[in-house]
Amino acid sequence: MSSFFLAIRLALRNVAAHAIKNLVVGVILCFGTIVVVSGSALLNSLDVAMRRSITTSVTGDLQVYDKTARDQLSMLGDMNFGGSDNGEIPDYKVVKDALAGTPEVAEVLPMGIGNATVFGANDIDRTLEDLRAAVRSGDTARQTTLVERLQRICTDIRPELDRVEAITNDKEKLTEDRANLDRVIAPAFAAEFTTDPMGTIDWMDGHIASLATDGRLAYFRLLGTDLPAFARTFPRFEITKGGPVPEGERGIVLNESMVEQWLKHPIAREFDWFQKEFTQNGGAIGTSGTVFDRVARMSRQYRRILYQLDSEEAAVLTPLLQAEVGSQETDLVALLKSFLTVTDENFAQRKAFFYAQIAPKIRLYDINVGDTLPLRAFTKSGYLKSLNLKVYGVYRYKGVTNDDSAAGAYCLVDMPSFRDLYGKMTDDQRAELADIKSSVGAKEVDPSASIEDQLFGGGGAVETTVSEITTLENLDSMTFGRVEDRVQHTFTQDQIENGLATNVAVILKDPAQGKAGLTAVQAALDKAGLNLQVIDWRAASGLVGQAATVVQLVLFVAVGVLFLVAMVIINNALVMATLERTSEIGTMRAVGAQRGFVTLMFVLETMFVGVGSGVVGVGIAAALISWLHGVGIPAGNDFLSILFGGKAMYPVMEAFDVALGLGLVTLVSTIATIYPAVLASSVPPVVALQGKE
Amino acid sequence: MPAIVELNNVVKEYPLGKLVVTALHDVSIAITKGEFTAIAGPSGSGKTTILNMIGCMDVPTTGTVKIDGTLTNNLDDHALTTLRLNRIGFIFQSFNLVNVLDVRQNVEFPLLLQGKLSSKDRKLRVEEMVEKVGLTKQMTQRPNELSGGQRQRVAIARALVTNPAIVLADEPTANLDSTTGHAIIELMRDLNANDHTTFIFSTHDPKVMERATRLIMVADGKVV
Ligand SMILES: Nc1ncnc2c1ncn2[C@@H]1O[C@H](COP(=O)(O)OP(=O)(O)O)[C@@H](O)[C@H]1O
Ligand SMILES: [Mg+2]
Repeated sequence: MSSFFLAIRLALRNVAAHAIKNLVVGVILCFGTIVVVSGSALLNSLDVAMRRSITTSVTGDLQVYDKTARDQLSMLGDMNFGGSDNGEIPDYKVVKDALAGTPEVAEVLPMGIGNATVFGANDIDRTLEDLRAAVRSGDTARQTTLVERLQRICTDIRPELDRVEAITNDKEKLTEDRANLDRVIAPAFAAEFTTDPMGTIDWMDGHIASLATDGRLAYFRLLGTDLPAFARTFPRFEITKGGPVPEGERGIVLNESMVEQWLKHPIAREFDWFQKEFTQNGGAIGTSGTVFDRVARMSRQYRRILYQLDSEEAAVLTPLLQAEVGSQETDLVALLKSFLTVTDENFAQRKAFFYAQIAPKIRLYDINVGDTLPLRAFTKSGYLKSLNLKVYGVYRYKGVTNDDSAAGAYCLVDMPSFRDLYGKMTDDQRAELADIKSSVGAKEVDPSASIEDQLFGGGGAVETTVSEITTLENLDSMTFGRVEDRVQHTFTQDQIENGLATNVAVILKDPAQGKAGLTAVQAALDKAGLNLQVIDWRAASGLVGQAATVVQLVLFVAVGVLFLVAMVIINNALVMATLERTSEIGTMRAVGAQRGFVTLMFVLETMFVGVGSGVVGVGIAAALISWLHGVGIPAGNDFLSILFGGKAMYPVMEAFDVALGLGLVTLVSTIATIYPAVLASSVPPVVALQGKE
Repeated sequence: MPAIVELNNVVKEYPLGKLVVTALHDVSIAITKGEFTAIAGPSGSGKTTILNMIGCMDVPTTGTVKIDGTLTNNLDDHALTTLRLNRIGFIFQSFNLVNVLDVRQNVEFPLLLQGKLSSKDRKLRVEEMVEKVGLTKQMTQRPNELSGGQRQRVAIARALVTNPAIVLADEPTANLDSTTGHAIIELMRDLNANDHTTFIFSTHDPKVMERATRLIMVADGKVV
């Protein structure tokens, strides 16, 4: 025992005696400890924040889906961007019933993941649509301004055709287009219009509309669910515009990030993007680079404003723009171009003017609450289906800023609408379809045939009562609100629950007991003979969950490398120390110290350095984490705010992190000492007699 | 009186690459308790090798070594170390003190390894030994603060603190000037006379040899 204390005393003395060497080793170990402790604290805090955020946003604690699915279910972004095959659950009710007796389960929710697109109308389409309405309601004043708007658009398009002349071979079509535009631009056109309004509109629909730039194609990630139950179950769900879809009715609630990213007016989005670039990344327009190029491009986009202005609005805007750009110019095109020429000096002013004066006069969003969306989707059976859904509101996840990421940016639809777009029919619908087919003599559609065959082949379109199978002709002319609706508009809770889902969210009574819950749910499903699998929220979150795993892996590798380097350095330093101290070790051995004593002395020496620097490292890490806890780690973008569950993360350090850091640093220093200690203990006592001082 | 050290037909060979260096050729020595023995001979004659054999630092290639009745040939490293700790004291040519320990701690070192005495007894024993070598005033100094002679006195105190049966000293005066060296030999001689501790030391200094009660001359690995 006294020899143990002697070894401690010697080890401590040696730590002091070889201060420089131990300082180098200590700094490395200290740094390693800081990385381990703060890294572990950050990861654990992130994990807690992520769980809180993700499970209460969209995934729930567990997700159930088809065991035979080709792809892993990933709800927050996946590699296949919507093309993944998550299999299907033929009847949600069966799953619900199977889990009814599981005490761990608090709530289950049907979900259906799908995609749809919406073609935005172009500016002529939209104006013609408005004009039609004005004709129907007999509002002649409105008709006049709209015709004037069309004339302005055509005047603007006219010179474009000269440019087209150089690149087209179809001179005949070009001549025709010019003649058509000239007809509209001509002052006599207004009178012409009044003689046959509807006929003129149809003519313009066929001859002019295609000349304007195309409307944008918006891509929707859809999540079908029991909407009222979803709102109740996910506390982070928050309607920011409009309201929820009324219970038992069809409808869609858009995601705020998606709206901002895909549906906002392009010029507004450019202003927003510059603003973000300046405030977040401290950028400036400058004289070259990405921002400069984008700014330069903006003035060429004046049409995006021009085509949406009525003559009255144009008249109001002209003097305002003159004042804003400081010019006497009367041509609106020139004024808009010079307004959109933005510099570092005038940026703030221009942005404010845009939102105050221009935004109210144009369509700031392609789609607004109250619109009816003509959603189109390729169903699982290969049909191209369209379904009109009313937009009831816009939602976001509480605490998540709208930014440029679309993680979890699902647009929520009711379950029956999801099923319609998904393309699986209920037995009732199948029966009804058979009925109609026999009555109209429609051709049976072979699901294995290609879409083209179905669309072109056999002549005549196939219709279903569920929605319309779009033929190529009406696909072209489709605009908002023009798809005839034949769908059943209301439904019961049974209709929500009886039928297909792609996945099921499970909320546990105790989210902390995720593993036990998962096992219980899987057991219940297996017992019911369902070929379904259960994954936890982390796996279900897909890329987001994987991102966290990647961060973990990177940290793991970094710590590994750091400690490997530390081990090599400690090992070298100690081997050198052993060689330097051969005579002293030999003397101790000669005088009666056992091999084990020498080993112990060396191991203790590095352990003291290790523990010492570990403690210092823990102290520094604690200071760092508590500082970060105070100021918060800001979530720079939407993706991070989903992970953090808010605008910032406030990390905390726990006993586990400290234990991990100290444990690792002790382990590493001990392992690094094994070889030198063995080397030292094999110094023979005879060297004492050969020793030179 | 039985011999406390007994070497019988000891041969020690060192492998040196492909060659074998024979450091000792058939050496037989018997030393009785209480003797003050000098092993003398020119450099390279085998003095240190003989002390290694006696000091249980190494075992002979052939022949036997018996220390205080114990045959060393078949002992393992642990047993040899224990034997050294309890029966033998060492004094080295280069003093070989532990630099990070002060005088008291250096002297205390073997007692702590033994772990036999209580800390109070240990303190008394250390103080007694340090006083015997005349270094009471230097008790808390480190080796690098002492002169060569003082360091060798610390080494003597360390060698004797456990009351060993035999004290071995390999050229204890070789690194000292002749006056200091002489004083060291006198100190050892006094301790031998008073406590009847067996001293065996090597030297090639004729003046030092004179002080021995017994002289063993070696040359080319043989006793002559
Ligand atoms: N470890 C060893 N390896 C090889 N040869 C050695 C070793 N130790 C001693 N010798 C050789 O043995 C002989 C005796 O050496 P040593 O006992 O040190 O002599 P001395 O102490 O009398 O000067 C010398 O020739 C020396 O070179
Ligand atoms: Mg020698």
